[in-house]
Amino acid sequence: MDKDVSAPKRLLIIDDDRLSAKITEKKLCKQGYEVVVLNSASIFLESLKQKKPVEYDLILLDVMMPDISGIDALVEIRKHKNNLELPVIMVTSKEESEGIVEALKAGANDYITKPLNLEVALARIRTQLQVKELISLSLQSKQVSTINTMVTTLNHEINNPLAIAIGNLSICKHKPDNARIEKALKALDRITHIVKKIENITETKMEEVEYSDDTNMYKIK
Amino acid sequence: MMFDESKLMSHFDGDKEMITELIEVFDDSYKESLTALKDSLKEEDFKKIELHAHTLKGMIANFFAEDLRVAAYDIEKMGHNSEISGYESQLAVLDEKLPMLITELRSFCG
Repeated sequence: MDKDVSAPKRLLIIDDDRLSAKITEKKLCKQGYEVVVLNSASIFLESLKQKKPVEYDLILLDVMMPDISGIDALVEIRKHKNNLELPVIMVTSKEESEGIVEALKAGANDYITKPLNLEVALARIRTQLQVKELISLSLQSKQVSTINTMVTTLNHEINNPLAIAIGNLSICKHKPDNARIEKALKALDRITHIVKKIENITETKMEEVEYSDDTNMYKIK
Repeated sequence: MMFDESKLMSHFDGDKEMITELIEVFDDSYKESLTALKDSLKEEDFKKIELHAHTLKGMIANFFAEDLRVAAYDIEKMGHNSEISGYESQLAVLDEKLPMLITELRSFCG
């Protein structure tokens, strides 16, 4: 189910430094975000492993933590959610350049440094959330387009033989005719054949072609 | 002053009420981290030394007390390099001056 786009974005801060986490939480809440703080990644990772729905739009993840390191937590997160589904911004001290590179290679979307520069943090958070939203809208649009194309395909591929079957059988109601019954049976066979193809459809067996000026259909190979 | 007043006020948008609240969190948190750091120095557990010094450094950085931040960072580097000889002087700085920092911060916020 899609979240209400007007609802405040929900951020998760994972940082063992309670003070820094509290400061970040307060600053982001003032900016209208809903913020949850965890001092260790273990609870969140457990919920991911149990396939529970993720309630956060973005995670701010500290690089260096005692229990599970930020990098290890990130690697685990990326097994379940890619960087478009769940953006992760690493939080690091100025001196940790190696950690930043490692984190970006492991799938972090971006990083910010401590102590938090609010303007920089907000800009990076907003960018990641906007990209996430654009991707989500694009996927929805593609899904609608695919459904429309499939409906056109079904209309074309099934309605034609259906019309042949119905037409011939209607005539046979008044005057039995084996040749017409044969045509109707062939048309029904064709529908059965098309339905079976659709059941086993994969992308590689479909080719999108133009049906009319503003409509496409799938040519089923 | 052990901390940079103008950077502190700028960082918190002049919100002394928020700073006052955070000083109390700092007062609890630093003691926990400093105790853990001392334990890990006694055990010569380099990874823990690096972690606890790193956490302490992060907390201190929020209040722009640069000398104390550098002291914590020096110990963090020692832990990272598995070479802790000479840590005592930096630990003494933290031990002695962190309570003084808290006092100064409280006084600043009135």
